[in-house]
Amino acid sequence: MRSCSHCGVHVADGEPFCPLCGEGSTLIGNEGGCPRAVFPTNPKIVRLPLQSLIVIDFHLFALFTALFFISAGAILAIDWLSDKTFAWGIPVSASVILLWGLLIIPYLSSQIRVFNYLLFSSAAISAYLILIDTLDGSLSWSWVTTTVLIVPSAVARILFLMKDKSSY
Amino acid sequence: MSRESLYWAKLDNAALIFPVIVSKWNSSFYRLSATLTEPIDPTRLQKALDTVMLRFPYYQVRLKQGAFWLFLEHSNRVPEVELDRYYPCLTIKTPKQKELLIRVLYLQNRISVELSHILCDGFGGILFIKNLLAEYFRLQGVSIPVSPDYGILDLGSLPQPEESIDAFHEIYDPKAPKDKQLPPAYRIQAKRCQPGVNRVITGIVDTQQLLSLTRSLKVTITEYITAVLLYELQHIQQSDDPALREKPLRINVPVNLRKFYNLYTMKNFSLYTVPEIDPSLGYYTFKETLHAVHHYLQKNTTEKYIKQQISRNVGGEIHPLIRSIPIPIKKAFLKSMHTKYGESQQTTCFSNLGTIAFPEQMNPFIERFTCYTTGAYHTKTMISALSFKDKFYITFDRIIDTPILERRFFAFLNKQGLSVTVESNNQQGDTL
Repeated sequence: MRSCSHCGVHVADGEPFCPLCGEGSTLIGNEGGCPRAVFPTNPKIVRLPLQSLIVIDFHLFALFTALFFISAGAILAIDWLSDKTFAWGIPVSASVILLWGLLIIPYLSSQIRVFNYLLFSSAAISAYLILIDTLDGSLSWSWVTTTVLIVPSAVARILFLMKDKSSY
Repeated sequence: MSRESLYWAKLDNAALIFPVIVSKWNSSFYRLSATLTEPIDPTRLQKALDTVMLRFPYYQVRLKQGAFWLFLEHSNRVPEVELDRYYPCLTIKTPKQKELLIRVLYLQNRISVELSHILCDGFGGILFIKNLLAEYFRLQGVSIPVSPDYGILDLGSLPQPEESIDAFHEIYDPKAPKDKQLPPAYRIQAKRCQPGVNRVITGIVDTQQLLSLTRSLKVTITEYITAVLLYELQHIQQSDDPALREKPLRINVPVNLRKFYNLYTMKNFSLYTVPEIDPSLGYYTFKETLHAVHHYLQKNTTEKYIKQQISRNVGGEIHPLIRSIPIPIKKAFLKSMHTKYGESQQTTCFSNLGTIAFPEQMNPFIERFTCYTTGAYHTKTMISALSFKDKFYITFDRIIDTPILERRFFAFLNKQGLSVTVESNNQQGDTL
Protein backbone atom coordinates (compact mmCIF):
# COMPACT_ATOMS: atom_id res chain seq x y z
CA MET A 1 0.00 0.00 0.00
CA ARG A 2 1.33 3.44 -0.84
CA SER A 3 1.85 5.99 1.89
CA CYS A 4 2.42 9.73 1.90
CA SER A 5 5.74 10.53 3.55
CA HIS A 6 4.50 14.05 4.29
CA CYS A 7 1.07 13.32 5.84
CA GLY A 8 1.79 9.84 7.19
CA VAL A 9 -1.41 8.32 5.85
CA HIS A 10 -1.98 5.38 3.51
CA VAL A 11 -3.16 6.51 0.11
CA ALA A 12 -5.67 4.38 -1.80
CA ASP A 13 -4.59 2.90 -5.12
CA GLY A 14 -5.59 4.96 -8.13
CA GLU A 15 -5.14 8.30 -6.38
CA PRO A 16 -3.09 10.58 -8.65
CA PHE A 17 -1.56 12.31 -5.61
CA CYS A 18 -1.99 12.43 -1.85
CA PRO A 19 -5.53 13.81 -1.32
CA LEU A 20 -4.40 15.73 1.74
CA CYS A 21 -1.24 17.55 0.64
CA GLY A 22 -1.67 17.35 -3.13
CA GLU A 23 1.88 16.05 -3.67
CA GLY A 24 2.58 13.09 -5.94
CA SER A 25 6.31 12.98 -5.17
CA THR A 26 5.74 12.16 -1.49
CA LEU A 27 4.00 8.85 -2.21
CA ILE A 28 6.15 5.87 -1.28
CA GLY A 29 5.74 2.11 -1.63
CA ASN A 30 3.59 0.41 -4.19
CA GLU A 31 2.94 -3.06 -2.87
CA GLY A 32 -0.38 -4.48 -1.69
CA GLY A 33 -3.41 -2.29 -2.18
CA CYS A 34 -6.68 -1.40 -0.59
CA PRO A 35 -10.20 -1.29 -1.99
CA ARG A 36 -10.64 1.99 -3.80
CA ALA A 37 -14.08 3.56 -3.95
CA VAL A 38 -15.25 4.10 -7.49
CA PHE A 39 -15.92 7.80 -7.75
CA PRO A 40 -17.53 9.55 -10.69
CA THR A 41 -15.15 10.55 -13.42
CA ASN A 42 -15.75 14.26 -12.77
CA PRO A 43 -16.25 15.63 -16.25
CA LYS A 44 -16.21 19.36 -16.73
CA ILE A 45 -19.74 20.55 -16.01
CA VAL A 46 -20.82 22.68 -18.93
CA ARG A 47 -24.26 23.74 -17.80
CA LEU A 48 -25.32 23.43 -14.22
CA PRO A 49 -28.94 23.41 -13.12
CA LEU A 50 -28.63 26.77 -11.41
CA GLN A 51 -31.51 28.22 -9.46
CA SER A 52 -30.98 31.61 -11.11
CA LEU A 53 -31.82 30.26 -14.54
CA ILE A 54 -35.24 30.56 -16.17
CA VAL A 55 -35.75 27.45 -18.21
CA ILE A 56 -38.14 28.22 -21.02
CA ASP A 57 -40.54 25.48 -21.89
CA PHE A 58 -42.99 25.31 -24.74
CA HIS A 59 -46.12 25.86 -22.61
CA LEU A 60 -44.81 29.12 -21.20
CA PHE A 61 -43.83 30.31 -24.66
CA ALA A 62 -47.25 29.37 -26.08
CA LEU A 63 -49.09 31.17 -23.27
CA PHE A 64 -46.96 34.27 -23.75
CA THR A 65 -47.56 34.31 -27.50
CA ALA A 66 -51.30 33.64 -27.15
CA LEU A 67 -51.70 36.55 -24.72
CA PHE A 68 -50.13 39.00 -27.15
CA PHE A 69 -52.03 37.78 -30.19
CA ILE A 70 -55.37 37.73 -28.32
CA SER A 71 -54.67 41.32 -27.19
CA ALA A 72 -53.92 42.38 -30.77
CA GLY A 73 -57.13 40.68 -31.99
CA ALA A 74 -59.16 42.32 -29.21
CA ILE A 75 -57.81 45.76 -30.20
CA LEU A 76 -58.83 45.18 -33.81
CA ALA A 77 -62.28 43.95 -32.73
CA ILE A 78 -62.88 47.01 -30.53
CA ASP A 79 -61.81 49.29 -33.40
CA TRP A 80 -64.15 47.53 -35.82
CA LEU A 81 -67.10 47.50 -33.41
CA SER A 82 -66.78 51.24 -32.66
CA ASP A 83 -67.41 52.51 -36.23
CA LYS A 84 -67.43 49.41 -38.47
CA THR A 85 -64.04 50.39 -40.00
CA PHE A 86 -60.39 49.70 -39.16
CA ALA A 87 -58.62 52.95 -38.26
CA TRP A 88 -56.35 53.24 -35.21
CA GLY A 89 -56.65 49.52 -34.43
CA ILE A 90 -54.19 48.45 -37.14
CA PRO A 91 -51.13 50.46 -35.98
CA VAL A 92 -51.86 49.71 -32.30
CA SER A 93 -52.23 45.96 -32.79
CA ALA A 94 -49.17 45.98 -35.09
CA SER A 95 -47.17 47.63 -32.32
CA VAL A 96 -48.38 44.97 -29.84
CA ILE A 97 -47.08 42.29 -32.22
CA LEU A 98 -43.82 44.25 -32.54
CA LEU A 99 -43.51 44.27 -28.74
CA TRP A 100 -44.09 40.50 -28.73
CA GLY A 101 -41.34 40.16 -31.35
CA LEU A 102 -38.93 42.14 -29.18
CA LEU A 103 -39.79 40.26 -26.00
CA ILE A 104 -39.43 36.78 -27.46
CA ILE A 105 -35.79 37.31 -28.47
CA PRO A 106 -34.51 35.96 -25.09
CA TYR A 107 -36.82 32.97 -25.56
CA LEU A 108 -34.74 31.87 -28.52
CA SER A 109 -32.24 30.53 -25.96
CA SER A 110 -33.47 27.55 -23.97
CA GLN A 111 -32.08 28.91 -20.68
CA ILE A 112 -31.49 32.46 -19.57
CA ARG A 113 -30.38 34.04 -16.32
CA VAL A 114 -33.11 35.96 -14.48
CA PHE A 115 -31.28 39.29 -14.52
CA ASN A 116 -30.29 38.96 -18.18
CA TYR A 117 -33.93 38.40 -18.96
CA LEU A 118 -34.96 41.51 -16.99
CA LEU A 119 -32.35 43.61 -18.77
CA PHE A 120 -33.31 42.30 -22.18
CA SER A 121 -37.02 42.84 -21.58
CA SER A 122 -36.39 46.39 -20.33
CA ALA A 123 -34.35 47.12 -23.44
CA ALA A 124 -37.10 45.70 -25.67
CA ILE A 125 -39.88 47.71 -24.00
CA SER A 126 -37.69 50.85 -24.09
CA ALA A 127 -37.06 50.37 -27.82
CA TYR A 128 -40.78 49.98 -28.36
CA LEU A 129 -41.59 53.16 -26.40
CA ILE A 130 -38.89 55.15 -28.25
CA LEU A 131 -40.45 54.00 -31.52
CA ILE A 132 -43.88 55.25 -30.46
CA ASP A 133 -42.37 58.51 -29.20
CA THR A 134 -40.58 59.18 -32.50
CA LEU A 135 -43.75 58.69 -34.56
CA ASP A 136 -44.41 62.44 -34.28
CA GLY A 137 -40.86 63.23 -35.47
CA SER A 138 -39.14 64.04 -32.16
CA LEU A 139 -38.08 62.47 -28.88
CA SER A 140 -39.99 63.91 -25.96
CA TRP A 141 -40.97 61.62 -23.05
CA SER A 142 -39.34 58.30 -23.97
CA TRP A 143 -35.91 59.11 -22.47
CA VAL A 144 -37.60 59.18 -19.02
CA THR A 145 -39.22 55.76 -19.46
CA THR A 146 -36.01 54.35 -20.91
CA THR A 147 -33.99 55.55 -17.91
CA VAL A 148 -36.58 54.23 -15.44
CA LEU A 149 -36.58 50.81 -17.11
CA ILE A 150 -32.96 50.29 -18.10
CA VAL A 151 -31.03 51.74 -15.16
CA PRO A 152 -32.50 49.54 -12.36
CA SER A 153 -32.21 46.40 -14.52
CA ALA A 154 -28.61 47.22 -15.41
CA VAL A 155 -27.74 47.93 -11.76
CA ALA A 156 -29.42 44.67 -10.70
CA ARG A 157 -27.46 42.78 -13.37
CA ILE A 158 -24.14 44.32 -12.31
CA LEU A 159 -24.84 43.63 -8.60
CA PHE A 160 -25.75 40.04 -9.39
CA LEU A 161 -22.59 39.69 -11.48
CA MET A 162 -20.50 40.96 -8.55
CA LYS A 163 -22.25 38.58 -6.15
CA ASP A 164 -21.74 35.71 -8.56
CA LYS A 165 -18.03 36.45 -8.96
CA SER A 166 -17.31 36.80 -5.25
CA SER A 167 -15.82 33.59 -4.00
CA TYR A 168 -15.77 34.24 -0.29
CA MET B 1 -52.79 5.96 4.01
CA SER B 2 -55.68 8.00 2.66
CA ARG B 3 -55.99 8.87 -1.00
CA GLU B 4 -55.60 12.61 -0.32
CA SER B 5 -52.39 12.27 1.61
CA LEU B 6 -50.87 10.47 -1.37
CA TYR B 7 -51.46 13.50 -3.52
CA TRP B 8 -50.06 16.24 -1.38
CA ALA B 9 -48.31 16.59 1.93
CA LYS B 10 -47.04 19.40 4.08
CA LEU B 11 -43.31 19.77 4.54
CA ASP B 12 -42.30 18.69 8.01
CA ASN B 13 -41.02 21.33 10.39
CA ALA B 14 -37.31 20.60 9.83
CA ALA B 15 -37.75 20.49 6.05
CA LEU B 16 -39.32 23.95 5.78
CA ILE B 17 -35.98 25.70 5.60
CA PHE B 18 -34.35 23.51 2.92
CA PRO B 19 -36.25 24.64 -0.22
CA VAL B 20 -35.50 28.22 0.79
CA ILE B 21 -31.76 27.76 1.14
CA VAL B 22 -31.26 25.54 -1.90
CA SER B 23 -28.81 27.24 -4.21
CA LYS B 24 -26.04 26.36 -6.61
CA TRP B 25 -23.75 26.01 -3.57
CA ASN B 26 -26.15 24.22 -1.27
CA SER B 27 -28.12 21.34 -2.70
CA SER B 28 -29.73 19.96 0.49
CA PHE B 29 -29.04 16.46 -0.87
CA TYR B 30 -27.12 13.69 0.83
CA ARG B 31 -25.93 10.45 -0.67
CA LEU B 32 -25.82 6.90 0.59
CA SER B 33 -23.72 4.48 -1.43
CA ALA B 34 -23.34 0.73 -1.29
CA THR B 35 -20.52 -0.94 -3.19
CA LEU B 36 -21.42 -4.49 -4.18
CA THR B 37 -19.18 -7.38 -5.13
CA GLU B 38 -20.53 -7.53 -8.69
CA PRO B 39 -21.25 -4.92 -11.38
CA ILE B 40 -24.72 -3.37 -11.22
CA ASP B 41 -27.42 -4.45 -13.65
CA PRO B 42 -29.40 -1.23 -14.35
CA THR B 43 -32.51 -3.07 -15.61
CA ARG B 44 -32.74 -5.12 -12.43
CA LEU B 45 -32.07 -2.04 -10.34
CA GLN B 46 -34.93 -0.20 -12.08
CA LYS B 47 -37.27 -3.14 -11.42
CA ALA B 48 -36.27 -3.16 -7.75
CA LEU B 49 -36.77 0.60 -7.56
CA ASP B 50 -40.25 0.37 -9.10
CA THR B 51 -41.24 -2.13 -6.41
CA VAL B 52 -39.67 -0.23 -3.54
CA MET B 53 -41.31 3.06 -4.54
CA LEU B 54 -44.72 1.44 -3.99
CA ARG B 55 -43.80 0.89 -0.33
CA PHE B 56 -42.32 4.42 0.00
CA PRO B 57 -44.90 6.58 -1.87
CA TYR B 58 -44.11 9.59 0.33
CA TYR B 59 -40.73 9.86 -1.45
CA GLN B 60 -42.30 9.91 -4.92
CA VAL B 61 -43.11 13.59 -4.64
CA ARG B 62 -42.09 16.91 -6.08
CA LEU B 63 -41.97 20.32 -4.55
CA LYS B 64 -44.79 22.70 -5.29
CA GLN B 65 -45.35 26.28 -4.29
CA GLY B 66 -48.64 27.29 -2.72
CA ALA B 67 -49.79 30.75 -1.67
CA PHE B 68 -48.48 30.52 1.89
CA TRP B 69 -46.28 27.43 2.07
CA LEU B 70 -44.35 25.08 -0.14
CA PHE B 71 -45.73 21.56 -0.15
CA LEU B 72 -45.05 18.15 -1.61
CA GLU B 73 -47.20 16.84 -4.42
CA HIS B 74 -47.35 13.20 -5.45
CA SER B 75 -45.72 12.57 -8.82
CA ASN B 76 -46.81 9.80 -11.16
CA ARG B 77 -43.24 9.53 -12.40
CA VAL B 78 -41.14 6.81 -10.75
CA PRO B 79 -37.49 7.90 -10.53
CA GLU B 80 -35.31 6.41 -13.24
CA VAL B 81 -31.95 4.89 -12.41
CA GLU B 82 -29.17 6.98 -13.92
CA LEU B 83 -25.50 6.49 -14.58
CA ASP B 84 -23.47 8.22 -11.89
CA ARG B 85 -21.60 10.76 -14.00
CA TYR B 86 -21.29 13.92 -11.96
CA TYR B 87 -20.09 15.05 -8.59
CA PRO B 88 -22.23 13.77 -5.73
CA CYS B 89 -25.27 15.70 -4.49
CA LEU B 90 -25.87 18.12 -7.38
CA THR B 91 -28.38 20.81 -6.64
CA ILE B 92 -32.03 20.72 -7.74
CA LYS B 93 -33.59 23.21 -10.08
CA THR B 94 -36.43 25.53 -9.15
CA PRO B 95 -39.65 24.08 -7.68
CA LYS B 96 -41.41 24.94 -10.96
CA GLN B 97 -39.46 22.27 -12.78
CA LYS B 98 -41.20 19.37 -11.10
CA GLU B 99 -38.05 17.51 -10.28
CA LEU B 100 -38.21 14.51 -7.96
CA LEU B 101 -36.31 14.86 -4.72
CA ILE B 102 -34.77 11.40 -4.94
CA ARG B 103 -32.18 10.03 -7.36
CA VAL B 104 -30.91 6.50 -7.79
CA LEU B 105 -27.54 6.23 -9.50
CA TYR B 106 -25.22 3.42 -10.43
CA LEU B 107 -21.61 3.17 -11.51
CA GLN B 108 -19.70 -0.08 -11.92
CA ASN B 109 -20.25 -1.93 -8.61
CA ARG B 110 -21.85 0.94 -6.76
CA ILE B 111 -25.48 1.88 -6.14
CA SER B 112 -26.08 5.37 -4.78
CA VAL B 113 -29.26 6.92 -3.51
CA GLU B 114 -29.40 10.68 -3.24
CA LEU B 115 -32.22 12.12 -1.15
CA SER B 116 -33.05 15.68 -0.37
CA HIS B 117 -33.37 16.70 3.26
CA ILE B 118 -36.73 18.14 2.18
CA LEU B 119 -37.95 14.52 2.24
CA CYS B 120 -36.20 12.86 5.11
CA ASP B 121 -33.15 12.61 7.31
CA GLY B 122 -30.52 9.85 7.29
CA PHE B 123 -32.81 7.34 9.02
CA GLY B 124 -35.32 7.38 6.16
CA GLY B 125 -32.54 7.30 3.58
CA ILE B 126 -30.85 4.27 5.14
CA LEU B 127 -34.12 2.38 5.34
CA PHE B 128 -34.84 3.18 1.70
CA ILE B 129 -31.45 2.02 0.37
CA LYS B 130 -31.56 -1.12 2.54
CA ASN B 131 -34.92 -2.10 1.04
CA LEU B 132 -33.74 -1.22 -2.45
CA LEU B 133 -30.69 -3.46 -2.02
CA ALA B 134 -32.80 -6.26 -0.54
CA GLU B 135 -35.19 -6.16 -3.51
CA TYR B 136 -32.26 -5.99 -5.94
CA PHE B 137 -30.79 -9.16 -4.42
CA ARG B 138 -34.21 -10.87 -4.42
CA LEU B 139 -34.48 -10.24 -8.18
CA GLN B 140 -31.02 -11.77 -8.46
CA GLY B 141 -32.42 -14.93 -6.88
CA VAL B 142 -31.16 -14.51 -3.32
CA SER B 143 -33.69 -15.16 -0.58
CA ILE B 144 -33.80 -12.11 1.69
CA PRO B 145 -36.29 -12.43 4.57
CA VAL B 146 -38.30 -9.54 5.99
CA SER B 147 -36.36 -8.45 9.08
CA PRO B 148 -37.63 -5.33 10.85
CA ASP B 149 -34.57 -5.42 13.15
CA TYR B 150 -32.40 -4.58 10.15
CA GLY B 151 -34.98 -2.27 8.55
CA ILE B 152 -35.94 -4.74 5.80
CA LEU B 153 -39.67 -4.18 5.38
CA ASP B 154 -42.39 -6.26 3.77
CA LEU B 155 -42.66 -4.50 0.41
CA GLY B 156 -46.12 -5.96 -0.15
CA SER B 157 -47.51 -4.24 2.93
CA LEU B 158 -49.14 -0.83 2.95
CA PRO B 159 -47.24 2.18 4.28
CA GLN B 160 -48.26 2.87 7.86
CA PRO B 161 -49.85 6.27 8.65
CA GLU B 162 -47.23 7.04 11.31
CA GLU B 163 -44.47 6.82 8.70
CA SER B 164 -45.54 10.08 7.08
CA ILE B 165 -46.42 12.19 10.12
CA ASP B 166 -44.66 15.39 11.09
CA ALA B 167 -43.36 14.12 14.41
CA PHE B 168 -42.25 17.58 15.53
CA HIS B 169 -45.88 18.68 15.72
CA GLU B 170 -46.83 15.51 17.62
CA ILE B 171 -44.47 16.25 20.47
CA TYR B 172 -44.63 20.05 20.44
CA ASP B 173 -45.19 21.49 23.88
CA PRO B 174 -46.32 25.14 23.67
CA LYS B 175 -45.40 25.73 27.31
CA ALA B 176 -41.74 24.74 26.89
CA PRO B 177 -39.30 27.69 26.84
CA LYS B 178 -37.70 28.46 23.49
CA ASP B 179 -34.07 27.67 22.81
CA LYS B 180 -31.68 30.65 22.98
CA GLN B 181 -29.97 32.12 19.94
CA LEU B 182 -26.19 31.88 19.98
CA PRO B 183 -23.64 34.43 18.74
CA PRO B 184 -22.04 33.77 15.33
CA ALA B 185 -19.35 31.10 15.19
CA TYR B 186 -16.04 31.05 13.33
CA ARG B 187 -16.21 29.75 9.75
CA ILE B 188 -13.36 28.49 7.60
CA GLN B 189 -12.18 31.17 5.19
CA ALA B 190 -11.27 29.75 1.80
CA LYS B 191 -11.95 30.17 -1.88
CA ARG B 192 -14.89 28.13 -3.17
CA CYS B 193 -14.70 25.79 -6.17
CA GLN B 194 -16.92 26.12 -9.20
CA PRO B 195 -20.59 25.59 -8.16
CA GLY B 196 -21.56 21.94 -8.29
CA VAL B 197 -18.06 20.67 -7.52
CA ASN B 198 -18.11 18.58 -4.37
CA ARG B 199 -14.66 17.40 -3.35
CA VAL B 200 -14.69 14.29 -1.22
CA ILE B 201 -12.02 12.78 0.99
CA THR B 202 -12.82 9.57 2.83
CA GLY B 203 -10.62 8.32 5.62
CA ILE B 204 -10.90 4.62 6.44
CA VAL B 205 -9.99 3.50 9.92
CA ASP B 206 -10.21 0.11 11.57
CA THR B 207 -13.28 0.23 13.85
CA GLN B 208 -11.74 -1.94 16.58
CA GLN B 209 -8.60 0.21 16.66
CA LEU B 210 -10.70 3.38 16.95
CA LEU B 211 -12.97 1.83 19.58
CA SER B 212 -10.08 0.72 21.76
CA LEU B 213 -8.65 4.26 21.59
CA THR B 214 -11.95 5.92 22.53
CA ARG B 215 -12.64 3.34 25.27
CA SER B 216 -9.26 4.08 26.81
CA LEU B 217 -10.33 7.75 26.95
CA LYS B 218 -13.82 6.78 28.26
CA VAL B 219 -15.64 8.65 25.49
CA THR B 220 -17.77 7.66 22.51
CA ILE B 221 -16.54 7.76 18.90
CA THR B 222 -18.82 10.76 18.15
CA GLU B 223 -17.38 12.65 21.12
CA TYR B 224 -13.83 11.81 20.14
CA ILE B 225 -14.18 12.86 16.50
CA THR B 226 -16.05 16.04 17.45
CA ALA B 227 -13.27 16.91 19.88
CA VAL B 228 -10.55 16.29 17.26
CA LEU B 229 -12.41 18.50 14.81
CA LEU B 230 -12.82 21.32 17.32
CA TYR B 231 -9.20 21.05 18.45
CA GLU B 232 -7.87 21.24 14.89
CA LEU B 233 -10.33 24.00 13.92
CA GLN B 234 -8.84 25.98 16.78
CA HIS B 235 -5.41 25.79 15.12
CA ILE B 236 -6.87 26.81 11.75
CA GLN B 237 -8.61 29.74 13.41
CA GLN B 238 -5.44 30.88 15.17
CA SER B 239 -3.62 31.15 11.84
CA ASP B 240 -6.49 33.13 10.33
CA ASP B 241 -7.43 36.82 10.35
CA PRO B 242 -6.95 38.25 13.91
CA ALA B 243 -10.51 39.66 13.79
CA LEU B 244 -11.88 36.10 13.62
CA ARG B 245 -9.72 34.54 16.34
CA GLU B 246 -12.07 35.37 19.21
CA LYS B 247 -15.16 33.75 17.68
CA PRO B 248 -16.45 30.52 19.25
CA LEU B 249 -16.01 27.21 17.44
CA ARG B 250 -19.13 25.09 17.22
CA ILE B 251 -19.92 21.78 15.61
CA ASN B 252 -23.44 20.87 14.71
CA VAL B 253 -24.03 17.24 15.76
CA PRO B 254 -27.42 15.89 14.60
CA VAL B 255 -29.36 13.75 17.06
CA ASN B 256 -31.90 11.15 15.94
CA LEU B 257 -35.02 11.83 18.02
CA ARG B 258 -36.75 8.55 17.26
CA LYS B 259 -35.12 6.81 20.21
CA PHE B 260 -36.42 9.48 22.62
CA TYR B 261 -40.03 9.55 21.46
CA ASN B 262 -40.56 6.11 19.94
CA LEU B 263 -42.03 7.70 16.80
CA TYR B 264 -40.75 6.04 13.65
CA THR B 265 -41.60 8.61 11.01
CA MET B 266 -39.90 8.42 7.61
CA LYS B 267 -39.71 12.19 7.36
CA ASN B 268 -37.18 14.37 9.15
CA PHE B 269 -37.05 13.73 12.85
CA SER B 270 -33.67 14.86 14.03
CA LEU B 271 -32.36 17.99 15.65
CA TYR B 272 -28.89 18.91 16.74
CA THR B 273 -26.66 19.76 19.63
CA VAL B 274 -23.81 22.20 19.22
CA PRO B 275 -20.75 21.43 21.36
CA GLU B 276 -18.42 24.39 21.40
CA ILE B 277 -15.15 25.78 22.64
CA ASP B 278 -14.53 29.50 23.04
CA PRO B 279 -10.94 30.45 22.09
CA SER B 280 -11.46 33.94 23.52
CA LEU B 281 -11.05 32.24 26.92
CA GLY B 282 -7.64 30.86 25.96
CA TYR B 283 -6.03 27.91 24.20
CA TYR B 284 -7.77 24.56 24.67
CA THR B 285 -5.58 21.48 24.94
CA PHE B 286 -6.95 18.31 23.39
CA LYS B 287 -7.77 16.91 26.82
CA GLU B 288 -9.76 20.04 27.69
CA THR B 289 -11.56 19.96 24.34
CA LEU B 290 -12.49 16.31 24.78
CA HIS B 291 -13.68 17.01 28.31
CA ALA B 292 -15.82 19.94 27.12
CA VAL B 293 -17.37 17.94 24.28
CA HIS B 294 -17.99 14.83 26.39
CA HIS B 295 -19.83 16.72 29.12
CA TYR B 296 -21.71 18.95 26.69
CA LEU B 297 -23.05 16.00 24.73
CA GLN B 298 -23.87 14.02 27.86
CA LYS B 299 -25.76 16.98 29.31
CA ASN B 300 -27.55 18.25 26.23
CA THR B 301 -28.50 15.14 24.32
CA THR B 302 -31.62 14.76 26.37
CA GLU B 303 -35.32 14.95 25.70
CA LYS B 304 -35.64 18.11 27.79
CA TYR B 305 -32.98 20.07 25.93
CA ILE B 306 -34.36 18.96 22.57
CA LYS B 307 -37.84 20.09 23.64
CA GLN B 308 -36.61 23.71 23.73
CA GLN B 309 -35.46 23.54 20.12
CA ILE B 310 -38.76 22.01 19.03
CA SER B 311 -40.59 24.74 20.90
CA ARG B 312 -38.64 27.40 18.98
CA ASN B 313 -38.98 25.77 15.56
CA VAL B 314 -42.62 24.64 15.69
CA GLY B 315 -43.66 27.77 17.62
CA GLY B 316 -42.34 29.85 14.71
CA GLU B 317 -44.14 27.75 12.12
CA ILE B 318 -47.57 27.88 13.75
CA HIS B 319 -47.41 31.57 14.69
CA PRO B 320 -50.51 33.21 13.06
CA LEU B 321 -48.50 36.19 11.80
CA ILE B 322 -45.91 34.00 10.07
CA ARG B 323 -48.60 31.73 8.64
CA SER B 324 -50.38 34.67 7.02
CA ILE B 325 -47.31 35.95 5.12
CA PRO B 326 -47.37 35.07 1.39
CA ILE B 327 -44.68 32.58 0.34
CA PRO B 328 -42.38 34.95 -1.66
CA ILE B 329 -41.99 37.23 1.38
CA LYS B 330 -41.82 34.24 3.72
CA LYS B 331 -38.98 32.74 1.67
CA ALA B 332 -36.93 35.93 1.87
CA PHE B 333 -37.64 36.16 5.60
CA LEU B 334 -36.71 32.52 6.27
CA LYS B 335 -33.54 32.86 4.23
CA SER B 336 -32.34 35.85 6.20
CA MET B 337 -33.27 34.10 9.48
CA HIS B 338 -31.34 31.03 8.43
CA THR B 339 -28.25 33.06 7.53
CA LYS B 340 -28.43 35.00 10.77
CA TYR B 341 -29.45 32.32 13.28
CA GLY B 342 -28.89 29.00 11.49
CA GLU B 343 -25.77 28.57 9.45
CA SER B 344 -23.92 31.41 11.16
CA GLN B 345 -24.05 29.54 14.47
CA GLN B 346 -22.00 26.57 13.32
CA THR B 347 -18.42 26.16 12.17
CA THR B 348 -19.09 22.79 10.62
CA CYS B 349 -21.39 19.81 10.91
CA PHE B 350 -20.53 16.26 11.91
CA SER B 351 -23.11 13.54 11.42
CA ASN B 352 -22.42 10.03 12.70
CA LEU B 353 -24.88 7.55 11.20
CA GLY B 354 -23.65 4.79 13.50
CA THR B 355 -23.29 1.16 12.55
CA ILE B 356 -24.93 0.03 9.33
CA ALA B 357 -25.93 -3.62 9.54
CA PHE B 358 -27.62 -5.88 7.00
CA PRO B 359 -29.16 -9.35 7.39
CA GLU B 360 -26.52 -12.07 7.08
CA GLN B 361 -27.96 -13.14 3.69
CA MET B 362 -27.05 -9.72 2.24
CA ASN B 363 -23.63 -9.23 3.84
CA PRO B 364 -21.57 -11.35 1.38
CA PHE B 365 -22.77 -9.18 -1.54
CA ILE B 366 -21.99 -5.78 -0.01
CA GLU B 367 -18.39 -4.68 0.17
CA ARG B 368 -18.74 -1.20 1.45
CA PHE B 369 -21.26 1.42 2.58
CA THR B 370 -20.57 5.16 2.64
CA CYS B 371 -22.43 8.40 3.28
CA TYR B 372 -21.75 11.75 1.60
CA THR B 373 -23.18 15.14 2.34
CA THR B 374 -22.39 18.42 0.67
CA GLY B 375 -20.85 21.61 1.99
CA ALA B 376 -23.14 24.59 2.36
CA TYR B 377 -22.35 28.16 1.27
CA HIS B 378 -20.86 29.25 4.60
CA THR B 379 -20.22 25.86 6.22
CA LYS B 380 -17.78 24.91 3.53
CA THR B 381 -16.85 21.47 4.85
CA MET B 382 -19.29 18.87 6.20
CA ILE B 383 -18.30 15.63 7.83
CA SER B 384 -20.21 12.38 8.01
CA ALA B 385 -19.19 9.01 9.36
CA LEU B 386 -20.49 5.50 9.67
CA SER B 387 -19.27 2.06 10.54
CA PHE B 388 -19.76 -0.87 8.21
CA LYS B 389 -18.36 -4.35 8.80
CA ASP B 390 -14.94 -3.80 10.41
CA LYS B 391 -14.23 -0.36 8.93
CA PHE B 392 -15.09 3.14 10.06
CA TYR B 393 -15.56 5.61 7.20
CA ILE B 394 -15.11 9.33 7.88
CA THR B 395 -16.08 11.40 4.85
CA PHE B 396 -15.29 15.08 4.38
CA ASP B 397 -17.25 16.85 1.67
CA ARG B 398 -16.08 20.32 0.82
CA ILE B 399 -16.88 23.02 -1.71
CA ILE B 400 -13.45 24.64 -1.35
CA ASP B 401 -10.25 23.72 -3.15
CA THR B 402 -7.89 23.09 -0.25
CA PRO B 403 -8.51 20.31 2.29
CA ILE B 404 -7.53 22.54 5.23
CA LEU B 405 -9.42 20.70 7.94
CA GLU B 406 -8.89 17.22 6.49
CA ARG B 407 -5.09 17.55 6.54
CA ARG B 408 -4.98 18.46 10.19
CA PHE B 409 -7.69 15.96 11.19
CA PHE B 410 -6.07 12.91 9.62
CA ALA B 411 -2.60 13.99 10.72
CA PHE B 412 -3.96 14.07 14.29
CA LEU B 413 -5.46 10.57 14.01
CA ASN B 414 -2.17 9.38 12.59
CA LYS B 415 -0.26 10.80 15.56
CA GLN B 416 -2.62 8.92 17.89
CA GLY B 417 -1.44 5.67 16.32
CA LEU B 418 -4.44 5.03 14.09
CA SER B 419 -3.71 3.64 10.67
CA VAL B 420 -5.65 5.81 8.21
CA THR B 421 -6.19 5.15 4.52
CA VAL B 422 -7.36 8.16 2.57
CA GLU B 423 -9.04 8.33 -0.81
CA SER B 424 -10.65 11.10 -2.76
CA ASN B 425 -12.54 11.91 -5.93
CA ASN B 426 -9.50 13.76 -7.29
CA GLN B 427 -8.56 13.01 -10.85
CA GLN B 428 -5.33 13.25 -12.76
CA GLY B 429 -4.87 16.93 -13.56
CA ASP B 430 -6.72 18.27 -10.50
CA THR B 431 -4.78 20.55 -8.19
CA LEU B 432 -5.30 21.35 -4.53
